[in-house]
Amino acid sequence: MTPTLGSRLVRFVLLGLAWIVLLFLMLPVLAVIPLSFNSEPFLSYPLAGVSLRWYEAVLSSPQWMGALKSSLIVGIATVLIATPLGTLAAFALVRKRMPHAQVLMGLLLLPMALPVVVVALALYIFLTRIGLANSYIGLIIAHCVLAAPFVLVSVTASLAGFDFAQIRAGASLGAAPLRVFFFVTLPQIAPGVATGAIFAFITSWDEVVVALFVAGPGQRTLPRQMFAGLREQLDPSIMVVATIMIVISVFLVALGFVLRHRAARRR
Amino acid sequence: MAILSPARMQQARLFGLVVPLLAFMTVFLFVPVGSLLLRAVQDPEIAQLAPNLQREIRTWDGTGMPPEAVVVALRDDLATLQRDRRAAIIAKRAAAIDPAFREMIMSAARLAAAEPQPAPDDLLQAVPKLREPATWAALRGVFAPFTDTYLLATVDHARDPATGAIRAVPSSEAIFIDTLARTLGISLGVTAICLFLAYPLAYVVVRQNRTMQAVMLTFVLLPFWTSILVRSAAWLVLLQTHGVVNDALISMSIISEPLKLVFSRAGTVLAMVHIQLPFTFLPIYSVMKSIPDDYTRAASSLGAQPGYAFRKVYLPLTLPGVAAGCLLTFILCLGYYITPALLGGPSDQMLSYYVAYYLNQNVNWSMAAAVSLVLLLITLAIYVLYVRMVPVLRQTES
Repeated sequence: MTPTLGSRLVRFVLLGLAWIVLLFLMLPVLAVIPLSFNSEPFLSYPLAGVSLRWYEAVLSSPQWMGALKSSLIVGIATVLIATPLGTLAAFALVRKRMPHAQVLMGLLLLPMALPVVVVALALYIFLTRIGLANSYIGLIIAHCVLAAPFVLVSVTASLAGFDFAQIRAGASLGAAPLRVFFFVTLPQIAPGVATGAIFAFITSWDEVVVALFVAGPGQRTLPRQMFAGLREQLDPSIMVVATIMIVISVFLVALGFVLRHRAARRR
Repeated sequence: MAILSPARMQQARLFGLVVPLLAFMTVFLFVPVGSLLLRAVQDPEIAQLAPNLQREIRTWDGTGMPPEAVVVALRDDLATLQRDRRAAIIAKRAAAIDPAFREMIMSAARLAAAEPQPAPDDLLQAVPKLREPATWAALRGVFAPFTDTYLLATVDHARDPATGAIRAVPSSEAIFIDTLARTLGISLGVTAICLFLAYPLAYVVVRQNRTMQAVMLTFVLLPFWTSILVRSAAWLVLLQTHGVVNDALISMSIISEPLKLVFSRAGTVLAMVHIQLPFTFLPIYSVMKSIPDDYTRAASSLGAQPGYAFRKVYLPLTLPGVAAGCLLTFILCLGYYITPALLGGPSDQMLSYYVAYYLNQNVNWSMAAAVSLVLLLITLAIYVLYVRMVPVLRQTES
């Protein structure tokens, strides 16, 4: 059947509309990047000139560098705690024998759906009561609550093709459970765990509301510092930080894709 | 000790793997959120600050003047608080009901702490407002172990201090019904726009070859993994009075004066659509990807026109993806805070804004808790619907 002129026109128009929507998604994100190189303190096109002065300003600012340090501390600690918690739970929840798995999964994924302001307020009151408000530990706990569901989702997805008979095979050959885990299971699900860890880091790296509520002046993270900057004065140094945040997120997600892709080829 | 069957043993072992995360979430999410919600109807601080009064006022039925024991309890609690210099906290709570109560509580506290302590009657004589039954009815509301004050406030109602009857607050003070309607309206609008854009987009993307699909998906995923704050900031910059969008429109002579795009509803909705579109798109795309071409081809070989085949065969098959994408987008929209805070004006703020407002500006945790409760109930209702419709977990054999 040859397509009629009408249906070809429809297809052409749809393709055009699709590209408009795709550009609507992509361009605002990309538009930020050149503005960070503007030689004048304006946030509009055309650029007055190209310079690195705002990068220099950010890199030599104790405030921004302190925020970067806080973000890295909190992000890495979040990964170290949320990844094992999520991985262990994922391991049990994907098994058919696990009772109430759907309900448990629904409960454990709640932090993804709850309004983040409500979670932030609840944690603020709770952490204040136990004396952990305005502390790194408090902020890390809060970020783990938000990040663990992402680990859970990506590890359960990576376990979809996993053959649990291998664990019994390992055990029947006399290997201790931990040995089986490290030598049989982990190598196969490592890409899923790594992706989970990456998403856990990005959750913390991008998070602003909880940081706004729970963290004190000593734990100002990059997004929090950026939020304050956006409300006080807009200048290209904020675009520099935005660019850094975009580049790091995109780099990490791309890394996750490569890891999973390579693992899929090996199978 | 009971001996478990092997199957039970394995179940117990599996459950053991979930315990760490479940315990973590229980301690750091479920318990904190639960006690937050409790705060909407109960003020734990009052019990701590005025234990005698809270105990005694419960025994009084609230009509006429209270028995002497209640006045004694007020005097004793205020005396203790005055010596600890904490009477102002109670005064602030009472002032939330009636601003004149602040001075009344403070002067009663000063008198109560005097040596020798005044008799209950002397206290009433010295503070005229304490001789009014309406005052005591209001205090009963403040010091009762459970209160509906805050929950009523979230639906723009209050109890009449004199009679205790529930009535609507004056329209000049009514803000919450409007905010709730606005929150639902913006969420619904953003969801509808996202669906309107995502459905045709997904339809086009699944029909491309592999390379083209990868390119198009990059255009969706790269913004998707950029932080919400960065994207809101990008829109703030683009939409400014002398920002990129206004400059472009003026240079193309479409408009002559810059449009007011920031601190407006339009800016807020635009940025929210930008952020939510991938959430709507991805479930629809993955469902469309799983539908074989044969179905619509079979329909057309049986003589169906393309439009008819689409409506009767293809569209119904994609509905699970549409439902998943829309529910997810709607749930996430309900909790928006950062984007309206940066891009919206005062009349574009959603419920989350009031949670933050009562925490940061007008330190009133009970009110923040009551607004949270409303937000949470709506979210949970839709989340339950979502979890029942969309399997959140795929399990494996063995």
